[in-house]
Amino acid sequence: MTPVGTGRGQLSLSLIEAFVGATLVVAVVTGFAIGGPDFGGTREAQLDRYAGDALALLSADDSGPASTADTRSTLVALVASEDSFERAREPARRRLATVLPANLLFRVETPHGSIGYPNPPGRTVGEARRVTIDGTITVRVWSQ
Amino acid sequence: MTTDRDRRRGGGPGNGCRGNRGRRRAQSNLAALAVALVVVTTVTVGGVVVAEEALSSVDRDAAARRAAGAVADRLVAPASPTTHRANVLDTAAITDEDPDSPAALTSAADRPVRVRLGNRTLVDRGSPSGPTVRRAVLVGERRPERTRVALGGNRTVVVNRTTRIDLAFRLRPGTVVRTVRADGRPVLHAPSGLDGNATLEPGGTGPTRLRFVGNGTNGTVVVTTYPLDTEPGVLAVTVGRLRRTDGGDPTDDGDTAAEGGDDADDSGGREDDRDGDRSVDERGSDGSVEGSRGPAGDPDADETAWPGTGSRTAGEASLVGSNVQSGREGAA
Repeated sequence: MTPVGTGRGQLSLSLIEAFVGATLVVAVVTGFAIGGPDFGGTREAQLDRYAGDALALLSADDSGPASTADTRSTLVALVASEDSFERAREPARRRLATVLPANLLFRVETPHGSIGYPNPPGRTVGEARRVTIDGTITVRVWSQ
Repeated sequence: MTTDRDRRRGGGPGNGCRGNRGRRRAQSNLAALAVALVVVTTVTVGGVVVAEEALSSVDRDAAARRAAGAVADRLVAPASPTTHRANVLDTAAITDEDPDSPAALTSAADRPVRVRLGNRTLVDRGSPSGPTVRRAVLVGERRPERTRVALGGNRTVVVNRTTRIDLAFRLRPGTVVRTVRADGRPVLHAPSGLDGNATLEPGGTGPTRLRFVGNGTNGTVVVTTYPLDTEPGVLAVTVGRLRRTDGGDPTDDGDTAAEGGDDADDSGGREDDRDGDRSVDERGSDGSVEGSRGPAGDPDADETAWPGTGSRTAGEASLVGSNVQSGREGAA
């Protein structure tokens, strides 16, 4: 039985150690190459931009049907009162769905209720907020 | 069976050289150690190089990303010559933009830049490979939209947000429109009655409700507005790395940044000029209409009322004077 033991011992231990070490280093480097961590918070910055754009487009929205005789922008209508929120809710949702890129989900929070999808736990979320005289409106945006 | 297994275990012929092997193993250990050192060193050095590259590219990207963000901000800014208002791009302006030196691109001076709108490339200077900043925008143009308001009806019309409302009074004798109210506040008033054409510039951010107050029901007012016809799109700005000219010192970054700043200042001036020209032009054209005895005769009042929004809290008289540029052309 001894010859078997010596025969197996041929592969040097230091070589094995070297390969183990190399594997570790390569693993760490792969991490860098793939760019696991979001170094500059770039994803979040991009999502913040989208959220800000959504807010800007809501506040500039004049696509509201003139026949409703509501002479306010969608953003103001959303915050103004319970009634106007209910009226503006569906147009606003449609507006955001067409304006934001298709892979993004959104949620709008106003003092009178929310529009959109429920907040995702543990996701990178972009956020934009505007304070109006009637309350604060918050837009959150995240990618699917 | 048993012999087979023995052979497989290397029992048979190898037994004789056991001593030899033991000595050679020590030798191969030394070689293996050398190989191991080489492997570890190579991998470590390679790893450090890759990591360094990754980190420094993040650094460079951050600068390029800031530049891209600034360019995108300028392109969608409300006062930019490329937009109707915040985030709403003007189709005409962006296609007419001189691709070599758009003012908005000065934030990325010395860098390759590409601006794309959906699948369309608007500007491609130096085919950059770098970070991309995206903005959700609307793209559109203003098209005239005509509504006829019969004074026999409810005398009210709600028009969508517009920069300008043209009114044409088509009234039969005996019918008089004395006041036009926008969202309740008077914007046009003539005690003897309005006729001919008039132009309003509503300052609000939403639709406007117009009401025509007067006597008689025989006539119509033609209301022309210029609402935006828009469709959504994504504006993508890609900015590449700083171009190195004739082997310039790579530590020159600070200087180039400073130059970039100067450029930005210059362009700011240019943009201001452009805006100035534009507003002067419009004012000029309004002025010519106004030359005929309009209620808003005072050019100074006109100038102060240019933004058209500040007058909400002012008194009626000043409203009539300031918020409206109106002219009554001698009716044909």
